[in-house]
This record gives sequence, structure tokens and C-alpha cells, in this order.
Amino acid sequence: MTEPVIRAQLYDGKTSGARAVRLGIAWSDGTKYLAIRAGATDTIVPMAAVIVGDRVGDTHRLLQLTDGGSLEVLDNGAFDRALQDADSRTVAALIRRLESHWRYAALAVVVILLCTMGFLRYGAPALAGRALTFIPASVDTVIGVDGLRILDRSIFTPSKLTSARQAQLQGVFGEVTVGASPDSSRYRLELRGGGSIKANALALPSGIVVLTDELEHLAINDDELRGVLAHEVGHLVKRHAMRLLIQSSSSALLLAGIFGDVTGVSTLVTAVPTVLVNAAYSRDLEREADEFAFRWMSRHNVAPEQLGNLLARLVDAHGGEQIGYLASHPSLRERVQAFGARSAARQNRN
Amino acid sequence: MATDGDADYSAESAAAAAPGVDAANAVVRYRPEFRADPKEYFRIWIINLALTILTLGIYSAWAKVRKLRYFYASTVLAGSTFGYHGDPRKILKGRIIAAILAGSYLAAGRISPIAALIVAGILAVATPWLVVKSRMFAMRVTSWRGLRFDFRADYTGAYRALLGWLVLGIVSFGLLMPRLSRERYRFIVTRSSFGNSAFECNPSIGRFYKTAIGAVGLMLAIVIPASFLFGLISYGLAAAHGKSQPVSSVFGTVFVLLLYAVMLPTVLGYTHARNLNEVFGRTSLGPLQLHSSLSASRLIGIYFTNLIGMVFTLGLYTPWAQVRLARYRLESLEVEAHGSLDHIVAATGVPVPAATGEEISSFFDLDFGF
Repeated sequence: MTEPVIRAQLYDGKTSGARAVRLGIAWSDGTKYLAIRAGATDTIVPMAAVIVGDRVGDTHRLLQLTDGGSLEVLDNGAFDRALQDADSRTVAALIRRLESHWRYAALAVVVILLCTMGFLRYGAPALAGRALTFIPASVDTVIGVDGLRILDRSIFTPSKLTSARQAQLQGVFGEVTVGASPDSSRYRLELRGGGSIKANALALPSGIVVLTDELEHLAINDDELRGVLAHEVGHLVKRHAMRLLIQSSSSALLLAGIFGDVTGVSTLVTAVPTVLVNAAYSRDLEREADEFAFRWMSRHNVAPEQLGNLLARLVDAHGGEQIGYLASHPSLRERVQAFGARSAARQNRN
Repeated sequence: MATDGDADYSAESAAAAAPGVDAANAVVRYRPEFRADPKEYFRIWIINLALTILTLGIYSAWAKVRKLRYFYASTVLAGSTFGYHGDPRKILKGRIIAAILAGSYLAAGRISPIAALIVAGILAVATPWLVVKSRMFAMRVTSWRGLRFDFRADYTGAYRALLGWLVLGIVSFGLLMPRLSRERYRFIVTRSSFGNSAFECNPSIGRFYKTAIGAVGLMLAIVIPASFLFGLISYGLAAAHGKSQPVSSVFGTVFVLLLYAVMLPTVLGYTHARNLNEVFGRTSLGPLQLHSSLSASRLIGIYFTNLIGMVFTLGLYTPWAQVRLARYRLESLEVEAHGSLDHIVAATGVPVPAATGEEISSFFDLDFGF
């Protein structure tokens, strides 16, 4: 039996007293024993009956004894050396090794950065796309039921277009929506004065497309407006609002899980990357809506450059500045170029 | 007797080493010591974070246990460290339920304000129950010198102290809010126990009102000059750029963020320092009396520099921030005893409840610990 030399404190589990003891670990008949020397008395217990607490960093281990008593090991190094033979291949030992070297810490930083950005950029959108098929389209109408009412109160003014012109535009909208999706019957067009968002069009998740008077004035012909309306209907058909909802909820949940809370200071820290990634993601959605518009225009013999022309004039109207709704769009110039290239390709094919 | 290089321990040894002398009459003050090393904790934190991500969150329960073990075991009172005995499997179960609830809460917020209000209402009604469950778990898995802490399952008291005073606070347009704060602290402390004795706590109501008035004053002292400054600068910007709205709206957002970054640490630091001093200063456990001497200006400084550090390192400063805050708060505490801390007697063993309550409340930031 090796001499008990490892410094520890014994707690009896009955009072808050502490007693200084020495510990030793020894083998006898193939069984491992823990020797506890208090004063002149030695107590021997089989190691199998002792619950050895994890050591985290350089803090003291706690050992739980069967009689309700416990031990606090004061000399980590000596105790670990005595335990060593049994302990070195366990998961706990592996995690302790990872936690005690800077090179693993550096590796962890890289892993965390890559995984977080990867999830926000690719994982969450893919998850949202997948989840979309499980949620009936009728649920989408629940999102932002009061959307138009809030916008009417804060931004829009009543449309000044003549009722004849309004009826004409409703007809154009009907052309775009007919057969666009199984529930295109609930889509409707609302005309409004644009207020601070000026020449603009937007799709509300409840199935409403808003077109501002200013954009109507900016358009030279109705084909240009067909392009714009097809783009907005594209957002509705592809259920972008629901996708964004799922995507941003799952991202927020992930970040909350990592940093521990939803409402605390960490929100400030994580807001920046989330905003950047969401902006990139909503650019993807815009491209998808453009794609939808392009296909609709090709099918109905409307030249794609019509939408390109209107976008080009929008760039001038907004003085190159992208505010409000337009801010999350891909640069308008980029889209104008994309539409130019598309029409050129189409003409070459013809 | 083993020496640990620890002044508090030797203070106790001196008292304990004098048998026969009436040690109960000697007043000894024990000051907790926080031995955590932020560099060591950084490695633990980052490895556990990476493992959590790689296991799609499942490891987070084990990570939490390691983090708390490190913090508890780094806290030394009279030569003995604190123990954390939470079971990661119980914590994982709680986390799964919490994640589902948090998900529906976030989704509700995006669907409509009314849906969010309904969920918030349900949460408010469930909160006292959650607080009791969460404190029961947190206390029963905490030990010092082999004895467990405990929390009494007093649900009626929880609804009276937490929900009752909240409703009164709202009905009185906030006038009774300082009282809510006091009742909340009192409830949390007085239902806690260590060994066979319960904590007692009787903070003064007037003191909570004084602190609340001081906090409102501080807020005004920041907001009023800031508004003048804001007006002045946006006037200057408008003069320089003509009527360029986008410039001033970007400036407005930045200004509001900066205002928050100054105001939150100041108001919270002031309020926390004064309230915690009052609560702990009036807390006792049997013959033991607690004291707390947090300085508002130092706590404000820690909150502020922690915020700045975390924002500019994208969160990598978190371990330093947490260690600094825990160290300052712990080392401002004192336990005053007549003689040694050796004579608190254990209560009979109690089963540890599931961690669900604790997990839900920590997810929603309803942490009612200190």
C-alpha cells in the first residue's frame, strides 16, 4: 500500500465542518481502493464505490462517497497521476486535453466561424425551403395580416389614378396572376400614392401587391408594368415571406443557442452578421422573383428589356440612392444588366 | 492541517484551532475568493462552444455543466470550493422543450403583434411556476462542503410575489415597480436554504424607491444632453449636405445605438449595485450575516467595458467579461460569522427535479439568480 500523500478535505455530509485528510490510491487483488487517512486512522473504500467528479481547468475535483460524505481534492496533479492508468482514454480526458491547449482553441474559433456563417448563409435557407413544403400555403396569409393597414397609416396616400386606369391595371394584374399558382385567386392588386417610398411596388405575404402611382407614371407602357407585377407575383408564388420567416427564426434560435439568450447583450453582438447574411439571402430571393418575371414575360411575348428599361429609369428616379424597400435588392444596375443580357440571348436564339 | 495558501482558510483555522475557547463569540468575516483564470476559461468556453455546434446543439447541456463547474469550483469560501452537480441529460431535456417554446415565441412575433402578445401573456402567467422550478434545480445541484442548497416549492408565494406585484405595478403605472423588484429578490432569497436553515432577507422598501428615483434621474441626465447634441449635429449635417435624408437617418440609427450603449450599462450598473447591496446586506443564514459592498461606478465601468469588448471582438471577449463580472460581484460579498462556518447541519436528502424550468427561463432571459 502506497503512503496516502494527496492533500484533500473531507466533508461528512452531516455538518459543514471540514477535515484535512490525505488520500492514496492502491491496487489489491485486482481491485482499486481509495485510502483516506484522517489523523491516525485510515479508511479504505473500493474505488468503484466512489463517484469521481470531473476536473474542469485547474479547479478541485469532488469525490462522492457512499455514506453521504465527500472529498475535495486539493492536489490536482498528484491525484491525476494516481488515477492516470484508468482515466487516460475516457471522453472526459479527451475533452480536458482539448481544453488545455491554445492550438485547439484556435481551431475551435475557426470551426465556429465557418459553421455559423455556413449555417446562416446556406443551412437556414435550405431548411426554410424544405420546411415550406410541409406548411400549407393558406398559413402564409396569417403573416402580417395588418401589413397594408399599417402601411396605409404610415406611408401610403390614396391613389389619384382615374377609375378607368385603375380598372385597366386590374386587368393587367389578372393576366399576370391567372394560373400562376393553385391559390392565385386570392392575389389582389392595390393602388396607392407612394408617399416617402415614391415609385415602388411590393408584395405583402397576405397576397396583396401594391403598385404606387409614381411607378405607374414612370412606366412608358403597360408591358413595363407587366414585368414589375410579374416580379411581385413571383414573390407570392415562391412564398418568400414564409421562407424568410422560417429562415430568420431558425437563425435567431441558433444564435440564441450559441450565445445563451435571446434578449440579452449578445443580440447586439450577433445582429451585425445576421443583417449582412439576411441581406445576401434576400438578394437571392429577388433574383428568384426576377427569374419568375422573366419566364412569364417570355411566355407572353413581352420583351424582357421592358422591365430592364423601367428599372433603369428607376435608378435615375431614385438618384442612384437605394432607400427603404429597394435597399435589400441587388443593385438595380446589376439587374438591368442581367435583363439586357437575357434579351440579347433571346434575340440571338430567334 | 493542510494549508492552501489561502488567507480565509487560515483565518478559520485559527478559530478552529482553539478548542475550549468560546470561539462562538469571536466575529470572523469570510470573503469569497474567485480563482478563475480568464485565459483558462477561454479555452474551456471555446472548445465547448465548438463541440456544441458540431453536435448540432446536443452537447450544449454538457457544455453548460462544464462552464458552471468551472465557475463554482473557482469560488472559494473559507478554504472550500462550491460544487455544481447538474445532470447534463436532465438539462438537455429541458433545453429541447425550451427551444420549442422559444421557436414558437419568435415565430409568433413575426406572424403578428397579437400572436406575440398572446404568447407573451402565456409566458407571463407561467413565469412564477418556471422561476420556482428553475430555482429548485439550480439550488439543489449546488453544494458547499458536501452540503446541498435547496429551494422551497412555494408556488402560491411565487404567484403573489412575482405576478401579483407585477399586475399592481402595471395598474399603478409603474409606481409600484420598485416594490415588485424588492418582493422578487425577497422571494428568491427567503425560499432558499442551506443545510437545515433557511435564508432570511428583509430589504428596506424605501431604499428600492430611492434607487429607482436615482435611476430615472440618471436616465434623464443622459437623454436630455444627448437629445440636444443630436439636434445640433443633425442640424449641422443638414446644413453641410443640403436636404439629404439618408445621411441623417443613418446618423440617427448610429446615435440611438450609442445612446443605448451608454445608458444601459449606466442605469443597470447603478440599479444592480444598489439593489444587490441592499438585498445581501439584509440577508442572513442562521447566525451568519451577509454583507455586500458593490460600488455603482465600478459596476457601471465593468458593464460598459464588457459591452465594448464583446462588440469589438464579435463575442470572443465573453470569457473575460464573465470572469471579471463574477469576480467583482463575488469578492464584494462578505460572510460574517461568530466563530467558524463548521456548524451548519445537513437537511435530509431531497431529490433533484428536472431542469426544464431552469432551461426555459434561461432561454427567455428570465434568470432570477444573482
